[in-house]
Amino acid sequence: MSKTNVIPQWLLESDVSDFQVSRAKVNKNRKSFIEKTLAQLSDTIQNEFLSEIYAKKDGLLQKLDPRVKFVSFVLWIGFATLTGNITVLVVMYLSTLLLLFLSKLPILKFLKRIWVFMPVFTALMVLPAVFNFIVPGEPLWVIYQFKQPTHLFGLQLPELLAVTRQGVKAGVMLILRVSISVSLGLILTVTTPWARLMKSLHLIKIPGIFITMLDMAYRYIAVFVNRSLEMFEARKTRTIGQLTYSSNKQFVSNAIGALFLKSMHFSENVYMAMMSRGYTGQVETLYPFKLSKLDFGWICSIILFMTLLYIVS
Amino acid sequence: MHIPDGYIGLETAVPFLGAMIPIWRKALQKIKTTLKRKHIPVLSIGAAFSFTIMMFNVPLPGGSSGHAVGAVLLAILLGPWAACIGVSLALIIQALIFGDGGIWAIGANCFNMAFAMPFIGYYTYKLLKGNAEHFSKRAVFAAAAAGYIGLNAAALLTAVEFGIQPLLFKAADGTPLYAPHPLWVAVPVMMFEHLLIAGPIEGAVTALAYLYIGKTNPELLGVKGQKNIGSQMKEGAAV
Repeated sequence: MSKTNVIPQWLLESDVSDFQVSRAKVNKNRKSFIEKTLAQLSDTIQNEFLSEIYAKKDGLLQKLDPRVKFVSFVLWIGFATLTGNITVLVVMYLSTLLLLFLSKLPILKFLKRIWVFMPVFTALMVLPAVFNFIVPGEPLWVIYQFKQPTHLFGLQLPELLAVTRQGVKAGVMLILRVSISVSLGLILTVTTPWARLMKSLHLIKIPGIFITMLDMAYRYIAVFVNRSLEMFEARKTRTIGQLTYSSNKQFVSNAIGALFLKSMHFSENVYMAMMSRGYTGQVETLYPFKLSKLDFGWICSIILFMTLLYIVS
Repeated sequence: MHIPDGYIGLETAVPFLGAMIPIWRKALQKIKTTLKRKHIPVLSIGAAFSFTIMMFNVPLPGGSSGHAVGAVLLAILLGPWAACIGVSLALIIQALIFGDGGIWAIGANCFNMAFAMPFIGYYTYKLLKGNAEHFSKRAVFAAAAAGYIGLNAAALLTAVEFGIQPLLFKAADGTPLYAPHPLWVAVPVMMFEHLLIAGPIEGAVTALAYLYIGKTNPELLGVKGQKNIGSQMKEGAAV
């Protein structure tokens, strides 16, 4: 009998304690924060942006000429920044909801996406500004009245701590403005196919080479997000137990270096692929731009809407 | 550090856009003369790279997190003008697609993170590295310091842009029209976070990624790699 048929003794021994320890650690090993961000991003990019599902819907904004849409939306955001009237801002915000509806976009999903990040972050940022020691003004709600002027580290503190009308107004204005501009930006980009949005940038005299690079960068973000996700997954499949903070930091830095090298290598291949397909530096899109009656209607209604709001404010 | 629309007035955003136009034009010219058509994919892919690493939030002890911009790393590896274009592209895509940073504020954001940061970082690196060789200890230290200083310079600029808003733009009753925090609040808050947390991360990430490239692919900076495999085998055979 040859020796190879004999199972070695160490393989027959069962080491229950070791097994349990590793099980416990595996259960604890959840996805890291970076992995979650990347996975979410990759999902959004692939399922929503690159597939352009919202741009294919049959809504009002999808039918508009991209140039008209781009210019009017940018002016609209500018208008929201200029106005200092809260009623006007509320009306403008409500009109973005109307746009969501008219473009047949899933309203709840978009509201979640718009509100979860920027406006909430803004609210946290402006919170201290409602107090009188940052924005002085009429007290709206006095929180504490000091009996005598208090000194702290040589600084004289104000005699009362209060929420001011001016502070609250500034905060509300800022949150409204941020939500208007984030909503409009999002509506603009999801209802316009990326290639046509890029082509409309020619209108504002952005050099073609810059637009080409912007276009390519957009496409390759999806590739790199996936590649980095793969790096994290590859490491995870080879990992048992907990990792230290410093080894995580080391890994992230190495991943960035490796990603850079991959991207350089990749760009050479892309260049050769482009050359072999006859790239000359000029980019053509298949859709010629044409202004329709709808576009003129849109331009007129936007001008009317903004003039009205301007008169009100 | 991304400025959304509404935090700064158009009176601030438009001049920054105006300032960025000659910078972008100059950068494009520089790239055309030095990099040629072959580098269009290099830059777009550099932008995709910068975008992706802005998503690499490094976990911090205590549960918070911070992200790197990578502008200084790109500047050291590709030159400051190329980094300017690369990071600008990433910022524009972020503003258009993800609403991270405003559309009108693109000028201000690019000025802070795509112009000031790579240039300050790049010249800090040059200055500190001196005549030392690429990937030497001194050069790695210089890369770390450049990342740290570059990020903090960008953060300081952002904080000043926020802080001057209530000084310049107020309604008649004293309501600040844009970002409400005055300089004495905006600057310390922003700098506390960046000097102590985000800055060291950017520095460490810049230096470690630089070191990694030095170990694996030093040809990128014109440094000859360690002896190639052929000569190593010969040496091995001799032993």
